[in-house]
Amino acid sequence: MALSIDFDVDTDLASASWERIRDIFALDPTTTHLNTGTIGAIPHEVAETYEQVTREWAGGLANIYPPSLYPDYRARIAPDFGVDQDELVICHNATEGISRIIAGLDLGPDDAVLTTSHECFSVLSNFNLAHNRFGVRVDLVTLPSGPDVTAEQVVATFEAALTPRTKVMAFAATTLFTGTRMPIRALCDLAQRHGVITIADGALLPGVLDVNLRELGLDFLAGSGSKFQCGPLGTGLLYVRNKVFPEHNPLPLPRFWPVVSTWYPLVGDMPKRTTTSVETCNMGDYLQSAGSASIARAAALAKACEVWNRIGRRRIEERALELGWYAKRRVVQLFGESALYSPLHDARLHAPLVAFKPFRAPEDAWNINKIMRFVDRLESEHRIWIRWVEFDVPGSPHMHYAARVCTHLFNHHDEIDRALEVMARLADEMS
Amino acid sequence: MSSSEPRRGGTLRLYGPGSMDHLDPASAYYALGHQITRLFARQLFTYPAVADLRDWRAITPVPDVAAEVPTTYNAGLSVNHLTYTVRLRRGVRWDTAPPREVTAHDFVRGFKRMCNPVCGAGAIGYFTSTIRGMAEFAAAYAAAVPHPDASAAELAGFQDSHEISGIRVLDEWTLVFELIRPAADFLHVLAMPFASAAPVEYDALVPDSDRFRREVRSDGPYRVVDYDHGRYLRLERNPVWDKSTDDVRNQHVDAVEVVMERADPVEVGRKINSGAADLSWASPVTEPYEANPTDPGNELGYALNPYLVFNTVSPNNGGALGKPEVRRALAWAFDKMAVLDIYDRLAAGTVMRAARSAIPAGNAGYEPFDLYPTPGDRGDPDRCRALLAEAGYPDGLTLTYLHRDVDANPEVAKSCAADLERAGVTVDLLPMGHADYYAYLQDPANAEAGAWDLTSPSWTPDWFGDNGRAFLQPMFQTNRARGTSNYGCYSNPEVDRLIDQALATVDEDRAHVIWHRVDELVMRDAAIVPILEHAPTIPHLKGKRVRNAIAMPTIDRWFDLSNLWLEPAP
Repeated sequence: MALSIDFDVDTDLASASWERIRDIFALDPTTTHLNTGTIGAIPHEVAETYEQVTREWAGGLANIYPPSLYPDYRARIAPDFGVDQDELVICHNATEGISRIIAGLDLGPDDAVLTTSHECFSVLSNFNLAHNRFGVRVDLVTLPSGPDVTAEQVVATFEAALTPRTKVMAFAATTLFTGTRMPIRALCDLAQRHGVITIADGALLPGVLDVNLRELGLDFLAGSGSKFQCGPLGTGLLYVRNKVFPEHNPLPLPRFWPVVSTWYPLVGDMPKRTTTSVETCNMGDYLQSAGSASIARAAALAKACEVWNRIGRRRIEERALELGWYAKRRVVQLFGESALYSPLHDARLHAPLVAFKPFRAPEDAWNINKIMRFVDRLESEHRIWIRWVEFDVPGSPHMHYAARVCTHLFNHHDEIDRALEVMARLADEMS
Repeated sequence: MSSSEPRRGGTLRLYGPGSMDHLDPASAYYALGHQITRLFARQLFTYPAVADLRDWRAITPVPDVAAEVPTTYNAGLSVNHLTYTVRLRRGVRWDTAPPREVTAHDFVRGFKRMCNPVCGAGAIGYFTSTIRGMAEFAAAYAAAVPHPDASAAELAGFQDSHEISGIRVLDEWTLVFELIRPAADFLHVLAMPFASAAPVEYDALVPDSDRFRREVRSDGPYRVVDYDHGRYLRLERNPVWDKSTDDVRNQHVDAVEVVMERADPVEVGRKINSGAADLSWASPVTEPYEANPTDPGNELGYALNPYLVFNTVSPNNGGALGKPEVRRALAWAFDKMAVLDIYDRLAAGTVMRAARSAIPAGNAGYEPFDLYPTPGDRGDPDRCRALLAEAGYPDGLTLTYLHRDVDANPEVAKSCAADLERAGVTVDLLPMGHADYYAYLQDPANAEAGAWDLTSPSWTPDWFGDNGRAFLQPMFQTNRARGTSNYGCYSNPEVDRLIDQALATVDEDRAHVIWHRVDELVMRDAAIVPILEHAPTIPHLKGKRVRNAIAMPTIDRWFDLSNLWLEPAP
């Protein structure tokens, strides 16, 4: 049975206009999709790959287990993120990845993890599970928010909360609430100075930022395949540092247990993990081996990554960030700078997500009903898809509720303009 | 009609010597009375009637006027567990003229009213230590209206011009609660009858006043049509109540009538068995013991019944009871098994044993320990006498022992008084009617005046499961406001600090350790003397007509009157 995917190089996409590129996505032309932070738009050929591979395997009696390790797909995707196959796992989503990272670490009652209240449920719930199960202390900091936030402030927030017990620092690559692109390298430098393991929730990273995970210095990252990477639902990427490159992260590899693994030895231990840049133990395989798996899922994700490479990951990042910056400036024009929860003046923190308070009255910022109605009406009356988010703000006793707009390569300036103008009118009416 | 199918009609008759402490839900805190408040006052959440007490749903709050339980997934509970957004169901109506829908504003009024300085909530600490701004509101209320005889206008004036910052009305049907810290038991707190909705008409009424009792409104299946405090109570169907808005109550009987008369358990039992009454009102009249060979309710937390409270602010005996060493000396005196014998003779049909700690078995924070051990729990009057002498009272003390004048209470008082007499303490017994007893204890002015030195109430946990605070906070946290359940005005800053610390953690193991530490401290201070702990509590006798009488552990195993029905008399 054929397993390989046809990775034709379509050089056209590298120079194609964004209008043309928009056409490769399964987008409903009557809607405005500004919610890629929740779910991306899938390219047609990714959907076709999924269907094709599913058909190829339908009724087949081939040995499913070797290909379920996705060796080819992992090998193809890994370089896109500056890593090797042994460091990469195709999982079901960022939540699964985060769960397996946290469950795989040796954490006990003498340890503390430092994370933020702006993390996704998957991070906070799994740390709470570790707290209840193993007695791990969970130290939460609330990230600063708003247009004036700087990378130094973010790092200082973490630094002030580090304690001798801190064993892990966990943070989003880009926060899903305020759309703050975290200063990952600086946070990893801080962590490494203190001998602390780093975990990034990269749900919003793959497919938007052209990054080299090794160079970022992270120990672990879990990302989504179905958000900005625009792969099928139920795909994610798990990065586990499996080699020591002192120039990026000189700390020894943390002890790590590949929970959920068919290949973990039935007797004895795994091979010793390396202390150098040469792999001695394919941690990716141990993590990837979990019984039979959907080949179509991995194939479609690989196709999505391939499409990205054809367009150019750097080009996509620039496009997404430019659209995000455009949206942010339009929000400032229409709602005022003080409406922003997202960073504005420090470009290092920019991401293609803009969180803002649409209503004039300050107290409407903590009115969940109003923001829910706002988002509902955008969908039902204007077919504009965004989402509302909730988070805490330092010094405020309230939960704050914001509108969050995500831009991606398939969006264009006109639709952002139109959508934000509709939002301004609607907010005005509702104010 | 089969007895398994509800039958509509009839008047349910309760008979016995009990009384409600208050009719006003803002202050009613006697489990017996909560049978009644459940019929006319609804909360955001409440407990369903579940016959099998092994079923965890019997002790888990469900939506009442709330449309659903707030969770992270329905956007009702914030990620940090500090913000609860509670949406109200539509169509719940007051029996006003014309009928009017219950709104979020009515609940806010209810929360404000429980802080009133005339007759406040007995466990106000549950709320003030949990909801942001409620402690400040209560303090400001007490400062602005410092006299207990305030007029309705004064009270409403304050309430209507001040807000509890942590309770916000988003619209008529949405309430937001902002907490000081996460509280895993918050739904239990909201299920307390104190947290009932209150219509605007209550602004014209002094809480629990005679006029309030005449004009009390209902949003439940029944409404009060006649109330003579301590004597008589009648509720009839509330015509505007709509079953489609109420998942937990029904309206099977036409009316509920309570005749409150001095009667001993034998008389109450006779009336029920003869068909002249259907249920007991307060008297511990039980079903034949064999009918309940194993009671799954025994697995729930035990109640303290009775326990002795010392009036720590009593000026009598030169303020002797304010001294821990004096209270500690007295704590040695009591023959707990003698009290157990008294209850045993009632054939109460419940598991009971000597109590040694403020938190009885089965409740969060319980650890077995005994700071005053005596052989067989029989007491040690000699040691009491010696320690009193050491404390500077070689000639003993003279104590006023306040007790209820019904059921086993006089006998219990006599037994404890005899123990004290053996230790050289003179005891003046002061009997009081059931109708006045708790209200009297809840007024710190009586304690401060030395109107009593010692009394023997009982305490059943307000909820089960995560209930560490359900004994220690109301009973021992400093609270000298009217309505307090810290009857003896006990105050220890370290206890207050530790209670606060226990409330500040969501870690059950850590909270358990702290609650136990508080238990040890209050026992070391001998703020109370636990006498007996009872399984919660007894299988109450039911008349022959009564069907589907479901005991509710959260109201001391009294019945959910809103779900039973009556068969025609045989």
